[in-house]
Order: sequence, then C-alpha cells, then structure tokens
Amino acid sequence: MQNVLRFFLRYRILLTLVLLQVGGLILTYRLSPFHSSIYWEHVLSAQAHWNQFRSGWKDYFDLEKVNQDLQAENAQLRALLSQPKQKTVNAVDSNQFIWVYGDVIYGTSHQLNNDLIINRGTLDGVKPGQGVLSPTGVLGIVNSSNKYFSKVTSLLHSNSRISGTVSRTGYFGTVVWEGGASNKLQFIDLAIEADITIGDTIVTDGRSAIFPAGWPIGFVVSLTCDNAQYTQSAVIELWGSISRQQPAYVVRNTLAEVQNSLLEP
Amino acid sequence: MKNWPHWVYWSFGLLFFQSFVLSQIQVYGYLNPHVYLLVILLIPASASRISLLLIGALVGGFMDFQMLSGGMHLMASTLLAYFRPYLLDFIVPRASEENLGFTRQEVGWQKWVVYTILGTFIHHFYLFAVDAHGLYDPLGFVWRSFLSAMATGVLMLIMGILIKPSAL
Repeated sequence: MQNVLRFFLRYRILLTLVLLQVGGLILTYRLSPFHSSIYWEHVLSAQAHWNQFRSGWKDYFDLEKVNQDLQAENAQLRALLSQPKQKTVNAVDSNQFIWVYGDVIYGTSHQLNNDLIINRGTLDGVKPGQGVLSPTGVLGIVNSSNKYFSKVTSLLHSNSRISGTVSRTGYFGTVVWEGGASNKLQFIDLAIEADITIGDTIVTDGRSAIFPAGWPIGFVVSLTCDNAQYTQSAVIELWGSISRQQPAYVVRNTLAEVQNSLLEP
Repeated sequence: MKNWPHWVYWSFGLLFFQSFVLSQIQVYGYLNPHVYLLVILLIPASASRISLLLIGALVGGFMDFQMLSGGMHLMASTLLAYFRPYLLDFIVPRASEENLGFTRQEVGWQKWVVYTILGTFIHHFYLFAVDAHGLYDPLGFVWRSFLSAMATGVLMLIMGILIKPSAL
C-alpha cells in the first residue's frame, strides 16, 4: 500500500498530465460533432466485427444440425425421385419459354415514350414482339432488333400495354403508364367486382402469350373505383427500377402462335 | 516573467485578444493563430509543475469553451505546460530555482525565438493531430500545423517586443 502511495506521489505530475489528457480526449469525442461521429463509426464497426466473429464460430458449431437438416431434405427429395414423373399441367410452364440472357445498356425514364436498348440481337434469336424481363420485374417488349442489339419499348411508354393479374385473387387487368413518376404505373380495366386491396402483388399472366405467368410487376399502392364505367383502377409501384443498367432476360414463347391462332376469327 | 500581477494583466489581455480578434480569423481552415499559448509560456518561473498543469488546463478549457471544440485545446495546453520547465531550462538554466526573468529583453532575440517557436510547435502539432483524429492525412496535417505555427510565431515575436521585464 505504501509503495502504491509512493508511486502516486512520485509520478504525480505525469499522472496529472495523463488525467487531464484523458479528460480532454473524452470531452473532445463527446462534444465535438466531427469527433463524436468518428467515435460512433469506430464503435459500430467494432461491434460488427465482433458479431461477425461470433456468428462465424456459432455457424461452425451449428454445422451438425445443418447436416442433419440437409440429410432429411435429401431423403425427401430421393423419395420424390423414385415416384413416376408427372406431366406438366400448367399451360404456361417455363419449358415453353426460351430465355436469352443480356444486359440493359441504355435507357431513359424522363420522356413520355421511353425505350431501352439491350445487348442481344437477331444473332441470339431476339425478334420484335418478345418480352423482356429483369430480375425484379418486367422491362418491356422488343420493338426492333439488329444483329447485335435490340430496342425495347419500355413499360414507361405511352403505347405500352401489358396484361397483368392480381396474384392473390387472379383478376385480370392491364398495366399502362400515363406519364409522371417512373416507378408508378396504372393498373386499369379491372372488373368492378375484382377483389383487390392495397399491398396486393401484380404479376404477369399468360393471356398475351408474351411473358411467362407469375413474374412480378409491382404492388398496389392506391385504388380508385369508376362507378360510371363499372371498372376499378389501381396505381402500382414497381419492385425495381426500369431505367438502369441491369440484367435483362428476353423470353421467347415457343407456343405463342399456337395460342394466338385460337383467337383469330 | 518574474512577478505574478504582471503575468495576470498579460493573460487577460492575451485571452481577450485571442477570443475577440484572432479566433475570428479562418483562412480556408488552414490558418488559425493561437497566441493564447503565450499565457502558458510566460507563467513566472517560480510556479510549481502542478500549478503549471492546472493553469494550462484552465486556459485550454477556457479556449475550448469559447470555440466549442470539446477538449482539444485543453489537451494541447496541458501538454505544453508539462514541457514548459524543460523548455525554460533549455534557454535559461536554473531559472526556476532562482526565479529568473526570461522576457525577450532579458534573454535576447535568439533564445526568445527558440523558446517561443519550440513551444508553438509542441502545442500546434499536438492540437492539429487531435483535431484531425490522428495522422491520416499527413501532408495536410503538416501544412496546416506549419502555417498556423508560423502565424502564431510571428505574432508572438511581435508581442515579445511589447513585453517589458518586470520592475521587481
């Protein structure tokens, strides 16, 4: 104890200095906005590192359980394999569509009639009239193609009309764009009795034989009811943006002509 | 300096000048003269080391309070106050034992310049290092410290002419 006291007495100047420095540091990092932002940045990133470290070890010790789950799943899948193959019953099965992968390389969203350009052309089998999808929604319909590139009539085009359906209840409608915000589209021509509420997901359907059914377009943000025309319409918001660089899938419906021939008079 | 009343007048004058004139000068964030550190450099040689530290903390804390800078000036001022006896011994040996005066007129230009410039550099480099949260931008840091230290140094040399040795 005496030695501790002696230590403090001996180094009292240095200790006072250290104390004052620490006090100054605390004041600085608490009161100065620049320093306090740095402080919290460090604290948060340290927490993130710690959590990552901890979850890494936790995952490691959970591997046994993961293994068991995978075995159970494997057993289920094997059981399915041993059963006789079923024929596809859905008319709009993905086997019916040929997918071509490309990228959106140009696009606008500020005009009344917007177009996109993708880097796939006739050499890849892209032809006018085929649908173009993105990972988060629908981009539009191919308008013209050359050897290497294709022009796509975007959803954000005054002539664009895409058939959609309410995912939850199956009522048909048409997705159009009347200008304005580039992430808000109109869903019109809905029957008056259609069961649709705010938050419903609108997906593509197989009526037009362009898109595979069930690809997401957007979700309903507002509804209006036209009592004179006996229709409803909705405003839908897109899941993703249209006019940006992103992957694009051109879909070719191999049975389109067969389907459409029935509609001819 | 030798006697305390003389030092007290100078301190008030310097702090007033610093707060109302110099702290209002900011040239692109690079030029901030901090003449108030002359208050610490001028503390009479007879002061004990603890009282030096406490005066440093008071002066620095007052500047922080004025400039809303947290505790940066407090840190720099106490560091300078800690090194003050070594600096003083360097230019006037045995100054503290015999309470010698160390104004410009008593020690001459050369020693006075060495004393103030060394003190300025200790104070400014530390202050700007804390201000920039470490030395991530070494060139900007050196440039900023150097410019401000030069401005402070020139101002302090001018003041050195005004400081008369104590009558006592």
